Amino acid sequence: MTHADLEAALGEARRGDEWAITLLFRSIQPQLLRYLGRQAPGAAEDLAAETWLAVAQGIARFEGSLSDFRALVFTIARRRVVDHYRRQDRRPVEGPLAEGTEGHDRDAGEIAIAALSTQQAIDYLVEALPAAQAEVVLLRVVADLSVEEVARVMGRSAGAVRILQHRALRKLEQHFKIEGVTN
Amino acid sequence: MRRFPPSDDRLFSGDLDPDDVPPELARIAGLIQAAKTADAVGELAGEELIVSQMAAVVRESRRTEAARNDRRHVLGKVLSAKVIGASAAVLLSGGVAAAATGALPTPVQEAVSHGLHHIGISVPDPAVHPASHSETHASGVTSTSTSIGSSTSTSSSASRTTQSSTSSNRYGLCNAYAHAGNAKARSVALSKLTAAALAKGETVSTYCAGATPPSNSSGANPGATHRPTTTTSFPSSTPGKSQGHGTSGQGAEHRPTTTLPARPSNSRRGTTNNNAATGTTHDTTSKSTTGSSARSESGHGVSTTTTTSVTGTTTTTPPPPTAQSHGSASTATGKGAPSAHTP
Repeated sequence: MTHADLEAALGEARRGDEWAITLLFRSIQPQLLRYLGRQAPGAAEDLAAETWLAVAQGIARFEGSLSDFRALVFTIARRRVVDHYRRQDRRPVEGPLAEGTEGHDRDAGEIAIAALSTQQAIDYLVEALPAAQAEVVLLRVVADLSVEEVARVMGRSAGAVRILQHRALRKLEQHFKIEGVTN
Repeated sequence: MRRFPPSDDRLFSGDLDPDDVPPELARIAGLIQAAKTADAVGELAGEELIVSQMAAVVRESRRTEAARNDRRHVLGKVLSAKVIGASAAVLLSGGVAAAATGALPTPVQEAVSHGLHHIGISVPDPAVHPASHSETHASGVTSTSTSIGSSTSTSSSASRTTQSSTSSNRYGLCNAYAHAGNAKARSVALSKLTAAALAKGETVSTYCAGATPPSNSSGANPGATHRPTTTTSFPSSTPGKSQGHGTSGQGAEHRPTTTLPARPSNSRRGTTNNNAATGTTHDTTSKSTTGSSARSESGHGVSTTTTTSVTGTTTTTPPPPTAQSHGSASTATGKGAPSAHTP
């Protein structure tokens, strides 16, 4: 599906066209689930459904590009995560996951990346990062958002996002170097 | 071979294989690529249900929005007419006709009187009839001040303005119009004259036909020093008709509206009231130029715009029809929907 196809689908989705909504759903749902799978393990599907219904409530009035729409979806998803933890009176996940990460051995000398599932790869990528840096990496890598879109979702400037991104990469570099030395 | 580190953006794009980057970044590049790989199983589960629910919500929100827009469109017309009317009334508060009615502050009135006297326009001179002028001025000032923006008081100030209109007022207005030196002054004078004539239920011609120079001794005609102008320049005016002086505080025959409180102690007030009834109609017409009189007439008491127009500063623009049918629409506050929904 091309970018132009999705832009056209967005226009039709605003009118309630089911097929257009399906196209948008298919283009974004996998990334949305992966993002939510890391941010709220075990609740990703429910939160994704909530996100889509919230998107539907506002899409008729939405005015913007496909990029703006993607940022909107993840902004809503992010808020759903916050609400989720607020309801449970818990803090969002940070660092190694306590659940949903079966079968991965962090002490292995070489991580067989090819053997990892997508969700496991995501977990490895962000588990050593502070929350803000982890979120930038998730939104950049998993949600496939640009720096500007991530800035909009997180409510920060693009410059701040770039700084977080750079720091995240330096920390990952250091982390895997140490792990390699340790192992 | 040394590989230069890629940019952060390039690395995050997932386009780089581990072999394409320096060794220290190889694992990161590999993980990024893996993180972007779609897991075919389960990622689109529940698609049909979610999509159908979304479509229903979108269609319902469109129906709701359409209904809200319809209401907002109607209210917008009413409110815009109201704003236009109020603005026009304020803008048309001119000095020439105010001077003609002796409504300016004493020093100003005196200066204006002397200045206009040199070009043949007669307006009340407070130096000649200070008492009369003060009365006129008091009411005039009140009406003038209230014409600039007070709401409910403007109605009463309007009545005071009209009450202070006397034969000299009539003469002053007609004279000012006849001798206005430029297009702007003429336009202002005409608007005042028209409003005064309509308040009495008369045409401008008829109104000025009864205008006489303020030469009687009632003291209600300030500016006796000014040269009485002939009526030849008035629209079908007929000089010599004596008028009651009805300066300040009297002459309650003018510009009353349904929102004006009745002034006490004057039979003319009865007349005023009657004229108010009539005047209301006319005021409606005149005020409707500002978009407010219709509301007054409708009894909804939208006083803000009414008051600004009542003081005779209305334009001659005909009222927008919709203003008359939405007397109390001022309470409506349509709000636009956000363009992007971020719950």
